[in-house]
Amino acid sequence: MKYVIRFSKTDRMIYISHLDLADVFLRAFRMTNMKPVYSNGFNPHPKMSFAMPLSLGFYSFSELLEFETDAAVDLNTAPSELNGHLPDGLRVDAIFVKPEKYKKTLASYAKAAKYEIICDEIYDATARLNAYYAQKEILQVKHSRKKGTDKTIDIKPLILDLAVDKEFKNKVIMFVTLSATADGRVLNPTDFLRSFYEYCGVDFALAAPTITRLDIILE
Amino acid sequence: MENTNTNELKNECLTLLRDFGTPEHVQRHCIAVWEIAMNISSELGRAGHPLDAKVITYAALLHDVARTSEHHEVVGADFVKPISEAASDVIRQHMTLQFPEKVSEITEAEVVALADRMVKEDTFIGFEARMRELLARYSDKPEVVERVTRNMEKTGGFIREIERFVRKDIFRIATADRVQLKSILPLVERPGRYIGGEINSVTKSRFDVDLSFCFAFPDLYEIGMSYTGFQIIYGLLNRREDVLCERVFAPQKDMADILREEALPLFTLESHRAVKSFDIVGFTLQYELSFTNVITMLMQSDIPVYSKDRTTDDPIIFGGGPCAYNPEPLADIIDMFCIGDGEDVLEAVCDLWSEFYGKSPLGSDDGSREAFLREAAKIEGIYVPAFYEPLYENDVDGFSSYSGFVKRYEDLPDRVEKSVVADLNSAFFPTAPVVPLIETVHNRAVVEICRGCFRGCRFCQAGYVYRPVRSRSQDCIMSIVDEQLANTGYDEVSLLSLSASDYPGIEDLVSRLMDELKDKDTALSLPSLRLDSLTSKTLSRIAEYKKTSLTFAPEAGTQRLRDVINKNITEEDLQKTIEIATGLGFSKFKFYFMIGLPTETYEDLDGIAEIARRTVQFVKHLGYEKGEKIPFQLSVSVSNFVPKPNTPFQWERANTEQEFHEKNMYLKDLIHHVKGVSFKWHDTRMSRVESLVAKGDRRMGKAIVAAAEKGGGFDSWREHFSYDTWLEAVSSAGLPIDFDLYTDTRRPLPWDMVSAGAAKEFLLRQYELALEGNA
Repeated sequence: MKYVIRFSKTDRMIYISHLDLADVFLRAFRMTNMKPVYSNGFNPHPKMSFAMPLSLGFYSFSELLEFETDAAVDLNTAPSELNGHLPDGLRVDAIFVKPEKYKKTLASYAKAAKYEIICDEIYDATARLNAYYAQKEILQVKHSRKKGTDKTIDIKPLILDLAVDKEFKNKVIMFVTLSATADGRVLNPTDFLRSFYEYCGVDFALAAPTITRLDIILE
Repeated sequence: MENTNTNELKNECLTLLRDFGTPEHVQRHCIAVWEIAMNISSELGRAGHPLDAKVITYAALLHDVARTSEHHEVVGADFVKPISEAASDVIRQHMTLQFPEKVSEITEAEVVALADRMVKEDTFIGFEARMRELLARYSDKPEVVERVTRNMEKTGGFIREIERFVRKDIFRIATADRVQLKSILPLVERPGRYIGGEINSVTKSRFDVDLSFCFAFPDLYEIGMSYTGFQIIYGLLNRREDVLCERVFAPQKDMADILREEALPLFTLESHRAVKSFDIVGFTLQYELSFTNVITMLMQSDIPVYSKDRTTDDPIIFGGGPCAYNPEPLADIIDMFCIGDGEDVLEAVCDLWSEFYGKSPLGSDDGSREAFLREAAKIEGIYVPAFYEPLYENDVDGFSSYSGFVKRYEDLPDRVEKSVVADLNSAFFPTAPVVPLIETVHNRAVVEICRGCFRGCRFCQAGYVYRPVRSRSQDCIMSIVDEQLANTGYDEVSLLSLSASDYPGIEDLVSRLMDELKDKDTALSLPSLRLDSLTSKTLSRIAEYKKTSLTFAPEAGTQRLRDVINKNITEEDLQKTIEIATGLGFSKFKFYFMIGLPTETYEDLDGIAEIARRTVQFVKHLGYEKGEKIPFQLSVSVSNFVPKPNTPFQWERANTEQEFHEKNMYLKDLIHHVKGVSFKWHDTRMSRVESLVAKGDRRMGKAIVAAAEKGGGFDSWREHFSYDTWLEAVSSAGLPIDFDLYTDTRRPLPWDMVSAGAAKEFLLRQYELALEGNA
């Protein structure tokens, strides 16, 4: 049976990388006897995967992890059982049966993600964010580490929604929904923020952003 | 010194609060104010303005006992008066107190009032934030606003005054150096190393225990967390109610740079508290090249490097592990060493601490440090180097060398006998080890099946110092494995010992474990197999789950030299096992050898290449007989022999860097011509430094400190190791760099005052046998 877990990643756990996180969950599964099914093949690996990777240092209240197990899972008690074996800062909020309509991995249905960004040193955030978004195109130079080349792309189509929640003095809280499709139309919130700071003419190093993923949007 | 017992006082006050009917959230507020008041007072005391901790405890914990009453400060003060007159006065003033301008005028009353003004409910928020908060809350009461505003300025000046006096900002003073990680972690590589919070890690309040112990591993988290000794110590200490144990590892260079730039102290993983604020800091000494990291970590912690410079404000620096068998290179740095097994010694040290200081030391007394060490020196297995002063005399080589010691106290032992855990079955072993959240060298369940080795290879320090051989019973092992897996979720179990195949009944054990683990989808690994003594039955069980490389350690290239080092393995043994192993499908093999062994000649080096060649030949023949080609890969790995204290070879001189290098190049050239064999060798310069430090006397400490100051540590990492820095450091300590001291069997050795169990005469007899070529 395939299940999906929705969990949050906060506190110290924001510093745990994607790969390490999978191991933490795998051990929690083993301790609660929800052992995932292993793939066949030369190097068997547990059938579990995240819908969307989360950058190191980001908070999240809505991560999705799917896994397949032969064990009987009680959807009511499973979250608290798992939480008993997860470190503080990782919390399973819900577990549900993977909907029939998703035949492939959830990652292949990923469309976008919504973030809350808190950052510093931007005055008049609402006005400036509106002006920024009103541009015809928003160009950003993307450096490809693989090819060693720079490429200029228009990131405006990748910004699906943008709004200031609160601002006080130089601090701003905003919500932003960014494209993140499986086929690579992805804008990372840090890249978005850097582009906005460049537009404002403010040193991005002063941003000290706190970035929290609020939602993963699937097709 | 009055041994006031903080925790008893605290409990007494908490009972009073409960009995009085003070609401729980107010009780929590009182505890928070008390913690901060204690932190401020201890910093003031450290800087030379001591206050009465007992008065602070009563006053801070009871200042709001009557919060729900009208004029609560008066009601509270009256209530406390029969218990402590001084505390009652403090409580009476705590709402209205005006701060003085000079630090010399600070009394307990100012400390409690200041702490109170920095806490919101039960959280420290700092003075300014707290005042802004009050202004907002009482904006409709002009008289309060006026009073708060007037006080803000004055208090600001008062705080500045304290900061100048203590030379720390108020935030660090009040929070006792709890490092705020949020601003620095995003800047470093692999921040998961520093966060703690793993499954089975333990967090306790230091105010609930007598002793806060910091376990320090002088290398990276990834290395230290894979060390089983840490799990034993951590579990053993934290299971005691009167002790808390937290961890610190050497920070990677990027983190070290940030700490230095931000003037932040080295901190523990659990509470992020400064290492310096612990009572005892215990370093594990696993390899000589980590000694520079011990120094670096002390400097990063703002703890004086030399024992003689430490005061009551500094932790006791404790050291243990295999390198403690020659404690002298670190004798001026470490306050006390644990010689031998740590389990019983640690328990005894904790007991002594509780007896000595009761609950957390209050106030300070310059005699207490020495007095504690004096008592500790009576514990079996504890060596306090400051009580043994080494003597030197001119050697024939023109350098002076160790010639004996003078004891500070008559009743100290002439030789500190190592501590031995008699029975592993009743000894503590962790069933809920800390599970790292990030990838480490080994992240798996581990159970120690046996301690010690009876083989008696003459070069092997572990073989001599971990005697006698003790095994854990099969049932005990099975139950530990069971519990560990249930508590960790690991999918691999490793059996730890110096020589797993020597465990009595290893075949039974492996079979039993394999049956058990198969059901749990868990793999078994046996890292220390002597393949020469393995039967085909065990090999075939291993083959069931893993066909990675198999390792043999003939150590020397000729039977003659193998007899000298007492390594009884023959080439026939080797070939027999290889025949079985290739038959079972193993194809990758590793041979370990050493160069620079006593009596070694170039014929012995030729022998190494010969073994490789003949083994390849042998497998080829097997293939002809079977009519098929047998897949076979052989890697020959050569390490440089370093004579270690407390072994029969302790009097040997080590090869010079030049000799090591020439031998390695000679071998490389020889093996290059053997098809299908790869060759690996060790850094010769590191081995040379390791040999100088391993047999170093007390003067070596100066060299280690100099090397650490210049190089910054991490000498066991090739990219950080600097040979020239070391040579310069050793010469600057007045020690020779191109020849070895302590090669004369008739003269005293710097580590004579510790006993690893074997008598010196026995080691000498073994040495003589070796030189005669007898196994």
